[in-house]
Amino acid sequence: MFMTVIFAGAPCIHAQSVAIDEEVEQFQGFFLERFFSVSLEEFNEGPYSLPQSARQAATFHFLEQLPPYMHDLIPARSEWNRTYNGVTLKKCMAQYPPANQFPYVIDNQVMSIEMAILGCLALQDRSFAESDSMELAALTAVFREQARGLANQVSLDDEKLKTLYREGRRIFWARQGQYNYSCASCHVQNAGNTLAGELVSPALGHTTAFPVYSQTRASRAGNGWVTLHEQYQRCMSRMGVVTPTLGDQRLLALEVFQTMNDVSIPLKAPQSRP
Amino acid sequence: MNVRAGPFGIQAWIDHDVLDSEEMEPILLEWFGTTRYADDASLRIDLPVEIINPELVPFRVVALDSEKIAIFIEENKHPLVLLSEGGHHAYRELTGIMRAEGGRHFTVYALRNGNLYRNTRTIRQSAPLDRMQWPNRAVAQPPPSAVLRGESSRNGINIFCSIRHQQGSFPDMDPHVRQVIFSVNDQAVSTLECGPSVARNPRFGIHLKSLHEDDMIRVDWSDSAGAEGHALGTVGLILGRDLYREI
Repeated sequence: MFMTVIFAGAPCIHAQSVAIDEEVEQFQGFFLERFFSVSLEEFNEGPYSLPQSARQAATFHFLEQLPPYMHDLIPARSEWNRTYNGVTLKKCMAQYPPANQFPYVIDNQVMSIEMAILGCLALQDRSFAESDSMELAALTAVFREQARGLANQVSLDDEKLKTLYREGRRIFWARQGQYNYSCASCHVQNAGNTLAGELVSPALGHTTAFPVYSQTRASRAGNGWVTLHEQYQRCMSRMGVVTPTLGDQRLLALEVFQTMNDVSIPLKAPQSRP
Repeated sequence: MNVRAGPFGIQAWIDHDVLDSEEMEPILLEWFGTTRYADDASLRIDLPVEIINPELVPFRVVALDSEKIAIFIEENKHPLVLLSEGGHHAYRELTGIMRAEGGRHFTVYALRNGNLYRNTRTIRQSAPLDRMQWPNRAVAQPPPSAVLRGESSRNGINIFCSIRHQQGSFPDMDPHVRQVIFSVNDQAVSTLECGPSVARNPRFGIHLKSLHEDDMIRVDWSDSAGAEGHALGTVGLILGRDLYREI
């Protein structure tokens, strides 16, 4: 089964002959078989979804009773409803579907949530200096929390998304960087094992938890939000890869690939991490 | 009052001989009037089997019929995590977050009918979590704040209070949360005195019984530099609060 999934993901073997929904089914099936006590809906807590994480998950669930990111989420909610240039983010983002349908294709362009919020900020006649600003991540968290509990419903039929899916699949399975790892080396082949004392999360369900709030980062930088693309950058840096800058199409492709694989898993964002 | 220029500007803090003591005995003497204790396994200690971040170790202590509780990590440079008095004598439950700093033994002392009892548990630590450190950014430290939440539990309510207080990295030089007072309708029900081993961004919880929806819960905190803040809400508001989609 394991080898089957590896080859199913390799673009050179199956090329475009296998329908994406079948690939997604195989991808999900691999994890459901490997972690047979975890149902598909429970794969939304990252490494804490897995039974072998029970020890660490105790800390996670303790924190989730009153998560530390509330201090940053509550001011971001006020910001969400504040009017600039006659526009509120709440009103502007109402033109988009809920967060469980992102990445979303509009005007023949694939939009991530961050891109949509940046567009609305431009309408409000203001923008953040950096696209990786933590204020942007906090606003993303406000948008994502409104779809908390809704199953991921990204479209599997759109051609634009399919193209990015294939690109993301290539990046996910290709070995790259100084240590010659692929994303799958850790998150498929070694999911649930420990790497330097840390539990490696399964690739299934990654996108449902982000943005996450890292307590360690909060201690260093005052604000702990980590977006999905920043986490991709961190992973790549650990693999010894020259990391793409935020906003790069490759990061969006990875997001599309992972989100399409996470279809029908309920969103559970934001989440805290120690 | 001491003043020093630290990485986040000028900091000030107050020395407190007992709370900042590196010795256990003066703390025990001041708080319990004795240093003699008996081991008692009925003092219940809940810790994660394995902690992932030594700066963020959650704990829960249940000490029935106790007048005062003290929590230490004995190998830490400053062993005191917190002292608690007042509050619900019949069912004493405390939750919080501490900083283990490599210390291995989590010890709880409780005063019951004038006698001192002790229980201890070992903290098992996995490898350090974040080998690749987050880069420091020029982000202004956000102002401290506090959030409240209640949860039904065993014929009563667990009140949680999360305080954002994250100044700097070194317990020696940085102010830490010193005192937390839980009040119901302006009457203090529990006072927690915290030592330097309390975690940054600490969270505290107590168990209360016989509350009504209209009762006002208030949590006041102050740190060792003199900063202070509070959070308040009625029981009806904070109990079972759905933390999400509040907008």
